[in-house]
Amino acid sequence: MSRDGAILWLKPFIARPIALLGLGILLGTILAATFAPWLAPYDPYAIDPSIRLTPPNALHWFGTDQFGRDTLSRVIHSARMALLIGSGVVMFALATGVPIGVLSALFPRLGHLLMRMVDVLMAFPSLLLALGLIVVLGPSVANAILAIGLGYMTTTTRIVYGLTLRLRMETYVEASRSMGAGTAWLIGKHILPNLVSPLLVQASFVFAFAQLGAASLDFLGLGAPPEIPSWGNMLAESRTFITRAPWLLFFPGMMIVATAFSLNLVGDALRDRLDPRFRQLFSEKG
Amino acid sequence: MNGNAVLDVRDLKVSFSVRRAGRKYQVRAVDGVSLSLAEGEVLGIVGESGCGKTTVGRSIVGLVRPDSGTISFKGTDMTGASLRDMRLNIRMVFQDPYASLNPRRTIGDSVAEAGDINGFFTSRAGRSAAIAATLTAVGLDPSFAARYPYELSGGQRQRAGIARTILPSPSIVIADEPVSALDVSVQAQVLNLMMDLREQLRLSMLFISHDLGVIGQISNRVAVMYMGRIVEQAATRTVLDDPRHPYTRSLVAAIPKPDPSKRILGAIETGEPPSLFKRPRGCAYAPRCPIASDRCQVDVPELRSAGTDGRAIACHNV
Amino acid sequence: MLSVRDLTVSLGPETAPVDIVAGVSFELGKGEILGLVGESGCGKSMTSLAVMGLLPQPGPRIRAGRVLLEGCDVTQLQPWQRVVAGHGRMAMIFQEPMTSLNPVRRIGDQIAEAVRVHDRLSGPPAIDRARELLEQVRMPDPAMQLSAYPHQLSGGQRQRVMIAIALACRPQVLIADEPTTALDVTIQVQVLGLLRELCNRLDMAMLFITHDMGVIAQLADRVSVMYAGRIVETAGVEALFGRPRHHYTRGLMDCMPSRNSGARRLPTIAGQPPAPGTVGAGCVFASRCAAVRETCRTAAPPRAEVSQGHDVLCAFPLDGGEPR
Ligand SMILES: Nc1ncnc2c1ncn2[C@@H]1O[C@H](COP(=O)(O)OP(=O)(O)OP(=O)(O)O)[C@@H](O)[C@H]1O
Ligand SMILES: Nc1ncnc2c1ncn2[C@@H]1O[C@H](COP(=O)(O)OP(=O)(O)O)[C@@H](O)[C@H]1O
Ligand code: SF4
Ligand code: SF4
Ligand SMILES: [Mg+2]
Ligand SMILES: [Mg+2]
Repeated sequence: MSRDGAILWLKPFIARPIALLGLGILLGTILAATFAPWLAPYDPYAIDPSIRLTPPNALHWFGTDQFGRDTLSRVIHSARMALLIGSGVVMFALATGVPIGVLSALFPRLGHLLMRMVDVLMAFPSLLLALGLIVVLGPSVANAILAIGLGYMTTTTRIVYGLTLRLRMETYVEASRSMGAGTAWLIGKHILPNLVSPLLVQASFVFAFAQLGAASLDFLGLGAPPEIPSWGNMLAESRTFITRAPWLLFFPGMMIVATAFSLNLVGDALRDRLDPRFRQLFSEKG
Repeated sequence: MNGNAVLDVRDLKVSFSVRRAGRKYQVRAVDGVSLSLAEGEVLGIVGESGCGKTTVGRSIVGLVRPDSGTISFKGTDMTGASLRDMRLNIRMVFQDPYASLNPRRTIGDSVAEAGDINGFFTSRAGRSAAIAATLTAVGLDPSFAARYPYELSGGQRQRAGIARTILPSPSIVIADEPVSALDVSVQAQVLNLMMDLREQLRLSMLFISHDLGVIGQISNRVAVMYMGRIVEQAATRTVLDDPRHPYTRSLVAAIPKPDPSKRILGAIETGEPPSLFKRPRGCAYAPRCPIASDRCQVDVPELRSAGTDGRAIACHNV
Repeated sequence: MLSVRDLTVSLGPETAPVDIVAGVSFELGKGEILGLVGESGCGKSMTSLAVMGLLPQPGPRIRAGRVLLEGCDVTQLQPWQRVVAGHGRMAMIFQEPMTSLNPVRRIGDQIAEAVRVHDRLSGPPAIDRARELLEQVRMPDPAMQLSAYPHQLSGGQRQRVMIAIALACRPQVLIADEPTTALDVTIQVQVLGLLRELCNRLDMAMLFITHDMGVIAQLADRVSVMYAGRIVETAGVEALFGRPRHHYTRGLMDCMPSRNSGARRLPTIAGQPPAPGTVGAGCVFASRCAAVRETCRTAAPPRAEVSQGHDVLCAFPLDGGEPR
């Protein structure tokens, strides 16, 4: 990508400082996840009963927990689980929701049937659905992704279905059909390219809400195994110390909110970047 | 009817089922239209909004399935002809230059789309050259190939929309209100372009418009439609200078003439527009017609030839 | 009655404003219809919204100029002052009647609401007045139609309802922004006839905006032609169509198919209107004018009165000698 191209991509973020903040938090999380062993000042698993429940200080910036483990190190290592669950859920939701939504909109008979099933799934609150699935499948990271992803598959399908129904009626799709285009052509050249930007926004929402969903499952002991550091697990372990050691809840809780929030901001800015009507505003010289 | 017709439409009927107030209705948008298009001819179709003009065009390019009737291209029924041959030979220009180009595809990709779909291009270089030549032919710089629709003005987009229908060159172009969304000065440019292309490429054209001024400029013959039927058909000048069917007369009279000394406001009576849900039993125009008789209430008038110049009229009383 | 002086509507920052309406002036007398004609994007709608005090916020703003309604500058008034001072007597109708009407309310109630705001009537008297207004706009079967929903009406009938709502405040000035563009010619002629009749009967002034020269010729008493935010020519309708003096006006008339019957090719105006903010020091039409001279590109042309009530913004107006 040329220098101009790079500037073009950054412009929507520069024009909106709050989106830049979101981007910063997201990049920070990714960096933390990638370089956790080098960034974390201590071994996140190292137990030291002599320093149990130390409040934040110069040695342990985020304090320590009931086993004397360093909270900062555990918060940093938890970013790995957050990214894994978030991207897993997004991929699952897109990989199922996009084909189902597009095909349902293009083939009304099939669509009728599939959308009824989606409606049934949507009738359950997504957390309840996830809990039920975990009870059946047993707790594990993969099952957590599947369980949370199922809830967002339905919303993604609905969105894709609605968008495709509208795109299908666009004059340029008509024009393409009048020239003999088949379904594969319409999907590849007209429908999917126009779904990219709304799906980016949807993906950012799903990623954000997946953080909340994963935290809830972890908190209930139904998500990542308790020995693996994750923000939800940290909340769960420290909830009995809420009055004595509030920092144990504060830092992981803040991270959950911050990642969820930042993803929404980034998605919004990306949408502006990709939509030609908005893009025009940003590509004007001066 | 016409031996050397490139396009021949016989008794076309199209209906849609629509939902109104919880009830399902079957509305007949096109109710028995027959027309033929000679080689190199431009046939104008004119009529009020909702009278079925677009539906006729969409049926011909295969976007809607007619209830009955035949559409034949150069003597072969299109239901039997090779679909690819037909798709490349009959192409459509759409009314809204903003909606008819995919915002995510370059102008070049849109212009080459028919060729791409039908495997017309054999090499990338050949494709690029063809795009450049086509853009030049419609008065756009070849560099437009790499641009996106939002970078173009309405007139430029409509040129791109026209370019898309002439690569590869077809026999017939169905133009559905191609200049209605454009300003007069741009409209004149695009109309001139269409007349030039028609001559250079020996195109036959079905030119749909609600504007008799535009129709008068470009077409050789005009068919006037009312509620899904052709009510009058003749050479353009004949229709404009001497309209005979009562509906054509009111249509011609209602054109706002750009001449303040010929004011018509308050002087003519045009009646209420019809509803497809309440189709009269006899002549569809009877509720608005100043010369309707008893027979008009019960008997549907057939299109019959009137005079020697190929004029046809569907009316009991003229 | 209505006098607009040097109205300038701008976008962008105070320091570098982009004028989308630049120094527009016109006068509108009692019972008179002034046609404002020009191509899409030339600033017709912005002019009318500025006069009405309805400019979309945030965005365009009135940077200079005055709008005098019976001598009182309405741009200086707050909306509530306009109503209290009785200066609410301007009303506007728009191009697309469906988007201006509430789709889930009966039209009788929608007209009655306008009556309530302006006449302080409510209940049965307001409904009576609504029926009276529907009669005024020649709605067939007005008593029945009071209980119709907008989607049950035809486009022409919906536009009649919009006119009825506009008449509810007994306007002295009606501003109509392309009210017939979405209608068929057969229905357009009815709505135009109705507007003409209402102006005569109620002694109401009207600013009628359109891009259609034919409609202007049929309806207007005087015409202002707008190009790139400026009024380039103003004249009585006979004079304008008989002897256009500005090169742009002449070009517009020449490229109309209906004035050109017979010719193989239509005359055109080469090029496109300049985008707002890209006009230089000279004449705004210089880039497309066939008669352009060197001075046109460097100096803004003067506004010259070429004959009584006929003025042109051009340094080298067309010869008035030969009528078309
Ligand atoms: N809300 C807005 N913000 C920024 N620019 C605007 C806005 N509204 C209009 N413009 C610009 O102002 C100029 C004049 O617009 P306006 O809508 O008044 O033109 P018009 O003559 O009424 O055109 P049309 O016939 O298409 O309605 C145009 O260049 C337009 O792009
Ligand atoms: N896909 C459709 N479904 C239902 N009704 C339709 C459809 N397409 C057209 N119609 C109806 O058919 C009639 C004729 O439509 P159309 O041919 O588009 O009119 P025109 O082009 O003359 O404005 C209209 O009443 C319209 O509402
Ligand atoms: S058939 Fe009768 S109603 Fe129909 S147009 Fe002729 S005279 Fe009028
Ligand atoms: S001032 Fe010059 S460029 Fe402008 S319209 Fe007059 S002659 Fe043409
Ligand atoms: Mg149509
Ligand atoms: Mg406008």
